[in-house]
Amino acid sequence: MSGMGKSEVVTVLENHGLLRMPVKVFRYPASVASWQLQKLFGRDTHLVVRTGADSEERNLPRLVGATAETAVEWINALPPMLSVLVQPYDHVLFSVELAVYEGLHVAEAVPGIWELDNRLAPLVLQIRGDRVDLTATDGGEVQRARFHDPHHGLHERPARIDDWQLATVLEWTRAQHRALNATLTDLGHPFGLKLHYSARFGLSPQNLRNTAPDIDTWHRGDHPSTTETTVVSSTDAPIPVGPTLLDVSIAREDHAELTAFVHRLREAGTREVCLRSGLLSHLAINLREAGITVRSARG
Amino acid sequence: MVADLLTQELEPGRWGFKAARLSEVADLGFPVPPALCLRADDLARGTAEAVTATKTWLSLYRPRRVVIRTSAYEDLADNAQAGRTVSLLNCPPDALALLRTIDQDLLTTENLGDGSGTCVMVQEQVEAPFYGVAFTHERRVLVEAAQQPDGVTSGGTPQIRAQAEGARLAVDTSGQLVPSLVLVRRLRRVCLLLADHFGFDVDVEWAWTGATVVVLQIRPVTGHPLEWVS
Repeated sequence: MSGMGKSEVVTVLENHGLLRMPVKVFRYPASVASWQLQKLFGRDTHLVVRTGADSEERNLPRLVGATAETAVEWINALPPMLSVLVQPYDHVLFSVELAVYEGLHVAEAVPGIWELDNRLAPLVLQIRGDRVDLTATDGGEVQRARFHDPHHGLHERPARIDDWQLATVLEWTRAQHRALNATLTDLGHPFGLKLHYSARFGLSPQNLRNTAPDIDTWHRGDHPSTTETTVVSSTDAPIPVGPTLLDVSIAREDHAELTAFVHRLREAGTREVCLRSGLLSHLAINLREAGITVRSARG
Repeated sequence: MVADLLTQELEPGRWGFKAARLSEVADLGFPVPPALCLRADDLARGTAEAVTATKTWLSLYRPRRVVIRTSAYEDLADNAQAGRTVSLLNCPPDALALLRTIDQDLLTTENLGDGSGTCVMVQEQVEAPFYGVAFTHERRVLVEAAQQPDGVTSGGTPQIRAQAEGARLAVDTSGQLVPSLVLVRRLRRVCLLLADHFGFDVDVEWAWTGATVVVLQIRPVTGHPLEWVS
């Protein structure tokens, strides 16, 4: 997997004024002391610790909502080839994957935390200057989204994206228009941003992806619901011939299962699949990297 | 004869379809702006009592601005006459001035025929951030909205165009931020309930107050927009 490591991403975001919350990078730390973290973030601040490799890896270990003492213990037990990024913990209210192209920004937003095993149908916002196209799927029930807080840990509750979240994404994208375009120019190609929204920091980029879907993905339209489509709802299921809808969920800890599944799809000659989850989701990213075209299936 | 739109169900044969359907919508519990309905054949015989009734109605509902509408030979299943009947916007709440306008400009054969079975509605003008039109067809809803009361109906470029089909909402907006999700969700619900109640695909003129959809007019869809075809 090529691309920037997380610590390099932090530098790029910082250089373009896109970094919203303080992030301290420890490159391949031999040892970190709790007083260092307390000095940087305050004595009682809960922390998020993410890890980064030299390239754009996904699903690396991380620690959420830890005290400085716990964080240090965890950091000092990590393998030496990993860098460490420490930032203040805050309650994530919604998540956004943003694809940045020349003249087009596409945001997919889901309530709560967006991880690999998330099957939420995202709300899709296409922004071309003043014009905004929005596509939402309203099922019979509000979807169950995943949240985290220090008292309850990870938990699920019904939630959805509504107008104020949309307005927040739109305003942020417009406010950061120049910074996003400058980053696009520097990188020389379309890119993706993963963002979290929290009450304290608002929308803050968490990661930068060197790949974004082909821009035609957004013009191609959704998969026609009338086409005979086989639904694959488990990574163990046989791979069908013909139009395939993937409705699978793979936890970030089970990345090997995803790799094996994508390998099986390729072996079966699958060239195209449809997802109810986002075109910018982790699953979609992995599929595209395997050369499989990903289309949206809604309704 | 005078009637308060919100408090009684009006017969189409006496008050025209516009007033009759709106009174039915109000009776269903949907928000409809209050209106005083004045029968055209009574107005043709003299406006003195209508002035008194209008004064009383204005002091009761205290509208900031008033719209005068005709409810005549329109809103039929095969001939909507949309935009061909009279609506006078932005009228001040002055009974004498309103009746003078009605007498001079509206009581014509062109507007109200011979006056039988028709009325003139003096209605509160809803102050709202968005106004528009919504069509239903086979459980789908098409919405167009603008910031002016007659922005869409007069043929202006809508600021919002949206379609709701099954679970899917697609919204196209331009310019400033718009609370389009809540607006389209509410409109979908209102329009589908009204289509079910009346038994035909509905063309609904509405206003969005920021909290609720107010129904301004309802008529049958007589020709489906191109979007359904494509």
